[in-house]
Amino acid sequence: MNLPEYIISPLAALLLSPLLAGIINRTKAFFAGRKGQHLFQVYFDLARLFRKDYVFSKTTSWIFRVSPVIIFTATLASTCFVPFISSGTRISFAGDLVLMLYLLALARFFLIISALDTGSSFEGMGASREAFFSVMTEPVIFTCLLSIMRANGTVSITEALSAPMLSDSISVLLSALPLFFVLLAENSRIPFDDPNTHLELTMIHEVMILDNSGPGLGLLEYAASVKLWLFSLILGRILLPSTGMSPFVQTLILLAIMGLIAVVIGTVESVMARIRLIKVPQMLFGAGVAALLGFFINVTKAIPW
Amino acid sequence: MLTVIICTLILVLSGLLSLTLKRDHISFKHIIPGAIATVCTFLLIHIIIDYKSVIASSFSAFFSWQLPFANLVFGLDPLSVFFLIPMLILTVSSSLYGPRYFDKHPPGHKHWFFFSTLVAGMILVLLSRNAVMFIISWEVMSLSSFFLVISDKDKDESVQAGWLYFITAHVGTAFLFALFFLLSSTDGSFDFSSWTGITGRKSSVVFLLALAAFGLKAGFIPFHIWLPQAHPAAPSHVSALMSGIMIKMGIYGILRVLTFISPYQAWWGFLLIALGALSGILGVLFATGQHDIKRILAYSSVENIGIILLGTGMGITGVAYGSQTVAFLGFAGALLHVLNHSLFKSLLFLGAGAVIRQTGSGEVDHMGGLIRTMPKTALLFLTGAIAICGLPFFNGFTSELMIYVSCLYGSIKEPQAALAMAGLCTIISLATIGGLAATCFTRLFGTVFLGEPRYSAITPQKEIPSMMLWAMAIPAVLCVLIGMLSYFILPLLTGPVYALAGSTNYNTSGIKSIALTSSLVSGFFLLSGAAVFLIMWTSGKKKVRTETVTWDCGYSRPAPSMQYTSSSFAAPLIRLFHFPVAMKKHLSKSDDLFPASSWKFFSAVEDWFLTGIYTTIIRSFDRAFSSLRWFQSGKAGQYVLYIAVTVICLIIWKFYL
Repeated sequence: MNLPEYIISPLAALLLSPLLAGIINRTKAFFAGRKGQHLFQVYFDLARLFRKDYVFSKTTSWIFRVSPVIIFTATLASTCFVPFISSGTRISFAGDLVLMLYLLALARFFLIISALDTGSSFEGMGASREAFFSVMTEPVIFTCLLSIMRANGTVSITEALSAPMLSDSISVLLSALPLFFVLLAENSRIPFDDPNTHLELTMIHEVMILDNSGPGLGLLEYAASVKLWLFSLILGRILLPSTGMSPFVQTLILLAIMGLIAVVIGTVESVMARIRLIKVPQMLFGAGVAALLGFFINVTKAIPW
Repeated sequence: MLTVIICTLILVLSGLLSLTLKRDHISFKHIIPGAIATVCTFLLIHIIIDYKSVIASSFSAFFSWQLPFANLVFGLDPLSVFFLIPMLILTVSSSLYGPRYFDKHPPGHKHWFFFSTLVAGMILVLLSRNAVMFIISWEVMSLSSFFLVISDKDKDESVQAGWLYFITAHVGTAFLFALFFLLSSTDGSFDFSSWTGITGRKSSVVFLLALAAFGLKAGFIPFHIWLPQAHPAAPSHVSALMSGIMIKMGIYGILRVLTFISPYQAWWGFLLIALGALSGILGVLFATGQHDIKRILAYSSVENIGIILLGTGMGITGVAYGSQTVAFLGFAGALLHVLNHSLFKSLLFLGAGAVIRQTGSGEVDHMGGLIRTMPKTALLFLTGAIAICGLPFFNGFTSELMIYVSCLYGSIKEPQAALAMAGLCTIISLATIGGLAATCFTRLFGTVFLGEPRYSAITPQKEIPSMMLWAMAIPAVLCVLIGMLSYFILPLLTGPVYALAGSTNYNTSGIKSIALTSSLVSGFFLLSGAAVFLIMWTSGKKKVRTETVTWDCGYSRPAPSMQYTSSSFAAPLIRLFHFPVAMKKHLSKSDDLFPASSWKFFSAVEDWFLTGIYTTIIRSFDRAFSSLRWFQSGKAGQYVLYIAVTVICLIIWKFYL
């Protein structure tokens, strides 16, 4: 239990993150009436990708070859700031929230330029949409997490998320709900994007990595599952009930909540169609307004719950 | 102090010397810029070594000075030294870059003369401690940069841009006169030292006048109209100097005036945050809609000035509400962003110059794949692009982090709701600007350097000369160093921040620990990145690497023209924000059955501040005063009549009233 938290959190993400995708796939299979793939299928896929050889496009430069490494490392590094087990030493400083989100932005920057490096119009289209969505998701994440930090009275996200969670259910609701929308948008999930295809109507994340192959593709897929893990972990932390439990029980409950989030994602993907691209901004603006409302209530303390 | 003044004189002298040399003379091409670079390097070393004694030095004339109201008073304090350092660095790097940039089209005789007077003017602006001296230096700076902008006199666009710049600069100077007269009205003195402690309603008027006077130089929205015109027109190393540091003289002016007035009103801070959010978001949106590489960079300067205003606004709000942490971090972030922006923006302008020099064009949508023939330029440009997006472990991140932390304290720790709202607005603006900037610069870098060449005719064959690369490496290395080791830059910041926040008892340990931790995290990140890279590399050595075409989804022949262009990349964003940034489409078609020429189409985002607001205002002035035009008939007799009437009126007034 004395391992530093900033090591445990990325380790947990590395080990457990592909499982979330497995749960989502099983949920979707259940709704479709299929038996579905193995729960650990994503692990097998990753292992297979890492064993494969490379195929590179002649158009690409070193940017394309280096990007998977930077994307993977930056995404993994951003998990250091969200505690997995709420004991142990942490890196926390005022403004670690900014570092966490900007590490994800660094990963996105390289994802976009590596897609543009292939010179393909498909990947250009994906890159353009990824950039477009990020403009709208970033302010929403900031507002949601700011509201959580204000409720806990700390300027560090690590502290805010490892503190016993809020008794203030309005704040929890008004930051968790927008954050769930952002989770779907940032992780290329239905209704924003379709993780299964790279076809024109949905091309965002899957199309950007179209030209990657072998271990490079493996790193990118791994980074994507770590990112999904990170967002679910933040959401799970916010929803975690705040009674005096031992860290071990707390972690088990946290894992259960995250599994539940994965089931909800799978359900959303099964019962919804992708919305039109033009409607995406409206949905994210709606989420942003809800987050703002949460912050205002927090500031004015109008509703002492 | 004396060293600084002597160095400034040497700069002007070397400029004068360049007027006497022959245009194609080897010494003209290399020695003058070399001399400028040497003098500035010497001065830089002098300031850094002697920092403690330099920041407290002053100089006043030991002879009587005949100019009315003017005193030959110079001084250096932490605030002016903080602006002087990036100024000297940029001068060194642009004067190293300049000579080779002009290889193909040597500049006019006066280029290096105006270059040196621009630098000398900027140094004197920072040194002046008297209003008249300040205005003289300010004018030297504005006029020399005007002549540098129109150095390409044959092009209509350059001259147009030059005039626009000339007019806005002088409207600014007019406000500056008003500002200084108001400031001197208390005791009639024009020395800065006698202007302390202006309070009450007068201080608000002073603040607004300063915003207008210096805003026209700093170029935040709505005063930005000259920037996107003048920067593309000037030679690239001059744009680097202008965008990197000359527009920051506007910020310096605002901050200098802030030291005269106290106590700060909270609404000044809110006004600055509103202006900052407006220029930040609109600036980068306009940038995303442009096609000309230097115009994109010019609009991005508008955006970064917006970020600086956001920080300054948080600083003022923090002081007004008595929160030292918010104030300190806000001002520190704003100042650090001045330094950082000067570094990465000049790097990007020099990179843009390299692209323009090799391709002969600034049109982004005609380029592509430059990373193959110009790999070093591409790497340096990428450094600047990541830094300007404020991404971690480059310098842009450190300053944005400080502003963010200031807002976090304001919106979380402080009890006042107004401070919380100011913090929230700034955070949302910064987050939006961050996302938009990433779009803008991935688009720029991706279109210019990545993919396949779109027009083979302008695709460069080779890298730029190594001298230019070294000149670009100076700001690039500093971008990385400040990003990794921001801890060591903090001592430079405390002096000016204390002056602005009006208190010296702020505990800087919090900010130091942020800087240290982020350095640690960056080291950790680098190590783990290197580890992942090593694993991938060693395990990849055995693997087969096949090279093939980009996956073409069934097309048999993917062509370069099928690539996403910068316009298509930005299209969804421009469509979403169609209210503030409307895309104008122009199609010239002929109705003939057999058209002689092909139809021409182009689309561009128009700056409606210039085409809408300012043109309307100027037109209405024009209409209002056109009825007085008969007064100036141009006939000599009529003017003699005016003189006679005036004299008669004066005589009547003198003797009978």
